This record gives sequence, structure tokens and C-alpha cells, in this order.
Amino acid sequence: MAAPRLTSYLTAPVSAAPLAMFRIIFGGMMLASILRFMLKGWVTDLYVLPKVYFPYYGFEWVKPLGEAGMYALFGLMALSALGIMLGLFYRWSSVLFFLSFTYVELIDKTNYLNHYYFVSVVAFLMILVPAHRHFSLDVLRKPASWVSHVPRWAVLIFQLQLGLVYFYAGVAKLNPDWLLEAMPLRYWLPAHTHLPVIGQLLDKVWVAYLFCWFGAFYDLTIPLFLSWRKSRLLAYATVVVFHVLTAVLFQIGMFPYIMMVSTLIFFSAAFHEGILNWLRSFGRVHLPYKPAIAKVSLQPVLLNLLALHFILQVLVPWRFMLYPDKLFWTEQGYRFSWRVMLMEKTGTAFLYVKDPETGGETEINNRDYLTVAQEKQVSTQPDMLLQFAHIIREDFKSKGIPEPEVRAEVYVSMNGRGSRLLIDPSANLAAEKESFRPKPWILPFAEQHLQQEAVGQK
Amino acid sequence: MKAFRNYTFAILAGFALLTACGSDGDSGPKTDYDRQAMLANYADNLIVPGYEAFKIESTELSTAIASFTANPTEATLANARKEYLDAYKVWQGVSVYGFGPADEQMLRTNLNSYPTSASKIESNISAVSYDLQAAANLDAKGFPAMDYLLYGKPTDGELIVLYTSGTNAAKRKKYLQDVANLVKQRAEATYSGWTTGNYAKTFKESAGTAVGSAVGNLVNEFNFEIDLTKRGKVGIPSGRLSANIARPETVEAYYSKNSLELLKRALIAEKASFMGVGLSGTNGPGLDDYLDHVNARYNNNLLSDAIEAQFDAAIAAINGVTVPLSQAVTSNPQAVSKLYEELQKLIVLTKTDMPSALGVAITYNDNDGD
Repeated sequence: MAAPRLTSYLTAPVSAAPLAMFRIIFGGMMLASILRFMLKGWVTDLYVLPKVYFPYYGFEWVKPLGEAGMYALFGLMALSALGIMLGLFYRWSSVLFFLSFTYVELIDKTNYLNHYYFVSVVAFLMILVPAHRHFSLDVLRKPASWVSHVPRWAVLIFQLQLGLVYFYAGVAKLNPDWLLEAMPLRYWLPAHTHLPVIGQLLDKVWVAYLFCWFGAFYDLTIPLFLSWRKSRLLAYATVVVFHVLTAVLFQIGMFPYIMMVSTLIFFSAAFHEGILNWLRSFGRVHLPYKPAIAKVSLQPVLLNLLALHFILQVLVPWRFMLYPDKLFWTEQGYRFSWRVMLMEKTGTAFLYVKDPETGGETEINNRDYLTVAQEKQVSTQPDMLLQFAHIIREDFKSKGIPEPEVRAEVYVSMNGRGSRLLIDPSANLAAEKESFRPKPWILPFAEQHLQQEAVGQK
Repeated sequence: MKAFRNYTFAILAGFALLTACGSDGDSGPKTDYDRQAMLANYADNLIVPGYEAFKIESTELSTAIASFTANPTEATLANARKEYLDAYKVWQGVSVYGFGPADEQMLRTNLNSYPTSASKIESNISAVSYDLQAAANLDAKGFPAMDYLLYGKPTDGELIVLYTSGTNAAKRKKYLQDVANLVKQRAEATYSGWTTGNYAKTFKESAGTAVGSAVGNLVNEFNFEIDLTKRGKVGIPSGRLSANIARPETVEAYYSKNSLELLKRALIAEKASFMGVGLSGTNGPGLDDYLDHVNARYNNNLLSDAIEAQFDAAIAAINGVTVPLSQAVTSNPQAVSKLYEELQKLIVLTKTDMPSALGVAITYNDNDGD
């Protein structure tokens, strides 16, 4: 590291209690999430039943493993989450959890959620820290491994990561639709007028504005207020209220609860030690009198790796600037950037396959290939449209048409704007290739006005 | 410290506003749009009366079939055909409500899977026994099967012969009656599901717009039905799904040549459903009013107006098709294309713009709004 002072700050010993607590919380929440996912039958619905999948560019080799394989993988994931929570065989558990969870997420981008990405990132960071050397079963197995202190960076990286998530979620809200039009909350909130107490308010436009502005302010500033001792309690109370509200209003599963407990990492060492001591009192466990400081082997390498990680975390959400046109429209560079609850985007896609030899063109019934969820995502996201076109191309090739042409007539409504064509309906997607380059067949947002006549087959 | 004070103030002010207005809102009806009233309108004035009418029609159909099979004459045949067409038209009016009891009865697939398989029907008739509840017989029963059984010959005389002196005449009569009775049974079961089964209450009290909520069901089934109208009634016969090679034999009501009339009935019913127009003709609170409430717009006008106009354009395009659809797909493809395009525009509005404005979810899975 260039700055020795920074290095000594980062490596200075701090209490291991916050990290151990974070490990327990993260492992516990993951275990609960995985069990919930399995109990809801989503393993079958999302990874067994679909006929086709939409892997990420460069990760096409990631495939579902069949019914038995997927349940085995989820079983392994649950076990490794349990291992993280208990701090048992921690290195194996954390590596296995990261790999199994990330593998499942890479199978189908239909199921992309910022919160799953967050879990993968945190799981990766968990591999790097000595979180199992305090208040863990590994310490019971090997008492000599116990430490009272860990290097500061081991706690700081989680605070930094959480802070980045909130901050970027806030930055993403600084757009005209959110701030000036109160979209999409203006459309989403009235669906909840049946709720007690606040229900009737959700019908009011000014309430949507209040939620939007407060949401943006909250996301941008909460990491700061959580870090600052004097504002911490109040800030945490806001975290709870904010996430409870989002849990009630939106269909976002475990995410609010995960955030509510993860942000406890901002609390003082004394707070975490208090909780752990209280837990210890049940087991009549006594701590050694002599403090022990964790010595992390390869620490300089890890610090460089983490520096790289955070540089990427800071830069990746800005990659959309390398692409032309409006991000919400093209979604080039949209994922992996903490853009949550920002868009109401709905589409209808008609795909056509042409046999160039006969000139005959066949309209596709999307549901012959796709699940409801896949159709919804395909209908608004150009990269998934391209993948779907290729799926159709391969299917028709296997039916004996050597060079099928595939085009898509796709109408998208975004944040209350009338539906309009998303991509060039005459582009032969069968001949287009996926890459990180801008997709020239996406129609520009500004110029594209409402389509008065159906394109259809002419 | 100043930032902290401002922050505290902002939060407290926010909550104070919320709670202040919260208690204010409790004191009187402040909500401009009453979703519960809309659901009550759908249940009380559209759906329950719709299924009641359908139940009555299917009973009359079953009775008319009984008179025909008891005494196959030109008069009883004409009466059976009339009742058949009446019931089929009323069916088009309730087909759009394919959730709840209708879903339990799998009404749409049990009653209207077309094209029907004439060969399957014939082999069932000549077989010792058949099971009309079997999934394999979906295309050998319901209205499409009756269409074949009542119109499957070029002349009335030839058809009546099948039921008098033809081989298997007795078995054919039984088959026709079985098919008619099954339609009646399913219609009755659906109606009682809504009434004595209390589904109407469940529907009216359902909150929110999530998947499985009343509004969610209404909107999702509405779109499913319009999609089916476009694809099944017009798209497949005109060759849209088969490399532009027309498939006239796949039209709805192929033998009786009533495809266009049924299509028109379906679109009129879908439009009435959108607008919340009850069977009595009264325009109550419907999806259109809900859209107006959230001020959903299309092309600087109200989205509800755009959808209504597009329904009218699609219905008008039916009139441009002057011969039976099974003929028109080959003899008058331009008019059929025009009709198809109007339906395409309609579904873009109802499946893209409408659910978006109403915040209706289509899947149970978690999402984070992107």
C-alpha cells in the first residue's frame, strides 16, 4: 500500500464481536431465505420447470442441474449458510455458500434481484475475513484459534459495502422521473389503499412525492448517519421504519429484513459485545482473560484485493455512461448497480420467424417457450430479447429451417409513458451477436413516439 | 450537528404529516376511487349475472338437445341449433372471467377447445365407452364438438339421417346429449361457486393488486382472454402461426360458420368487462374508471379512451370481413389482416399500458422493481 498510515489504520485491532455478530446474522438470514425459497416451491418453478434459461454473457456454461441436482445444490447452500451462522468449518462453509449461491443466480437472469447480487458480494467478502475465530463452534473445536480482536478492515468492508449499496440506491433516485413525476411510486402506492392507518393516504399524489424525496434523502445519507455515533440510534430507527414500510408495500421478500439486521454492523463494539456476553451467560461460557489478536496471513494481498473490489464497486454502477441513450430504456449497464424500485416497465413482445427460402413467417406464442416471469422480463430487456431470438433460431434450425430469420415487435411502457417500440422491428436478431457493445437495433428513446399502426406482418 | 438537526426535523415532519393525515383520513371517505365498489360492480352486475345467464342458456341447450335426440326432425334440429348458438354466444361473455370457480372447473378448456377433432368424436361414438372427463377428450367435447355434431353435414337431411337410420345413431344421440349435459354441469358448478360457494364475497373483499388478488385476477385473465381472442380466433386460422399458410379448419365454430359472430360477441363482452358495463347495460365502476383515477394517459389523452376506441376499431374491422372466416382467410386476407392488426394494437394497450398503470403484478416471486 502506498500510504503506510492508511495501512496501519486498516490493520489496527478492533473488537471481533461486531464481525462475529454479523456472521451469525448473515448466516441465519441466508438459512431462512433458502428454506423459504425451497418451501415456496421456487426451486422447481424457477430452476426445474422452465424449458429455457437466460444465462449471463460469458456464463453460458452455467446450467440448471436437474431436479435432484438443484435440490442437492440448495441443500448444500442451506448447510453452508448454517455453517456460517454457527461458525463451523467456516472456510469451507463460506466458500461453498458463495459458490452455490452465485451459481444459482447465474443460471437465469430472469431472476436477477439486486438483493441476490448483494448476497453474492457479501458472501464473497465473508470468505476473506476471520469471522469464525470469535463466538463460534470452530473455536470450540480449536480453542487456540480464539481471538478477541480482528484487523479493522474486516469490519470496515461490510460497513463500506452496505454504505455503497444505500448511497448508490440514492444516487439512482436522483432522476427526473423519480423526483419530478413521483414515478413509479405514484402508480404503485394506490394499490395499497386497503392498508390500515396509512392506506387512504397512499392514494394521494403528494404522498408519492413525499415517499420519493424522503427515499432519496434516506438512501443518500443513511450510511453517514449510521456511522456517526450521535445520530446512530435515530438513524437505525429510520432504517427499521423505512424497511418495514417497503416490506408492507412491495413484494420484495426477505430483502428489508436482511437490511434491517445487516446494518447493525454500524453499531459499536460494546453493543455487540453486550449481546454476545448475554448469549454467553446462557452457556456459562467464560472468555479467556488475555486478549488475542487475529493474525491474518496474506493480509497485504487481501488488502490489495479489497482495494480492487471497492474500486470496481464504485465504478461499475457508472458503466451505463459508456452507452448511448437513456439507461432506463436500453438497460445497457442497468444491473449490478443497486437500482431498486425505480421503474415501472411493462412490455409486450411479438416474435416472428421467417424461412428465407419460402418467405413464410410464423408468429411465436411466447408461452410455448417461456414462463410467465421469463416472458415479463424478455418483453422489456433487449439482451434477453436477443437471447430469446437465438433460442427460437436454434429451435427452428432443429425443425429443418437452415437459416431462420427472427425479428421482434416489442412495445414497452416505461414509468407511465405510452407504449412504444423498443427495438427495430425489422432487425434480424438471429444474425445479431451478444457483446458488451451498444446494441444498434435498440430504438432511441427520445425520438421514438407512440406507434400508431401495428407493425405486424406485411 | 446542524445536519443532524435538519435530518431529525425532516423525518419528524414526514411522520407527523403521515400520522396527522392518517387520523384525518379515518374520519370520512377520502379515497377518490373505491376499488371495493368496482369489485362489487364486477361481481354483482357482470360476473354473477353472466354465469346465471349462461347457466340458464346451457340448461335450455341441454333440453333442446334432449328434444332433438328424442325426435330428430328439421324442427327439433333448428331449435337445438338455435339454443346451441345462444349458449355459445353467452359463453363468450363469461369466458373472460377464467379465475376462481371457472378455473376450478377449467371452464375454458372444457367448454371451448377448438379445433375439435371429428375423428376423435367419431371413434368415441363407435367405441364401447368413452370418458369425456379425460384430458385426451378435450377436443372432443364442449361447444366445438356440438358444432360438429349439429352441423357436420352439408344439408339438414343428411345430418338428421345420422341420428335416425345411420349406423350408431343411438350412440350418437347419447354422445351429443352427454356433451350438452357436461356443458350444463360445468356452467351450474361455476355459478354455484360464485353464489352458494361464496366466491363473490371472497372476490369483493380481496385487497390490493398482487397476484391472486381480485384486481390481479381480473386484469391478468382479461389479457389472457384478449390474447386468446387474437391468436386463437384469428391468428391461427389466418396462418400467422404457421408460416402464413392459412388453416381455415382451425376457426372457432368451423362447421356452423359462426366464427365472426362469436368473435364479435367476445370483443363486445371484453369491452363491457373493461368498462364495467353490467348485463343490464348500466355502466358501473370498471377498469376504465380505475385507469382514469390514476390519470393513466396515452398520447396526451386518457388511456381508457384509447383502449375503448381500439375495442371499437377491432369490432369495426370484423365488419370488413364479409364471408365466413374460414373462407375469408384465403379469399379476403387483407380484411383479416386488418382485423388482426387492430387486435394486436388492442393487446399492446391492455397488456402493456394498463397493468403498468394499475401496478398489477403477474408473478408470485420476489422482485425489486427492475
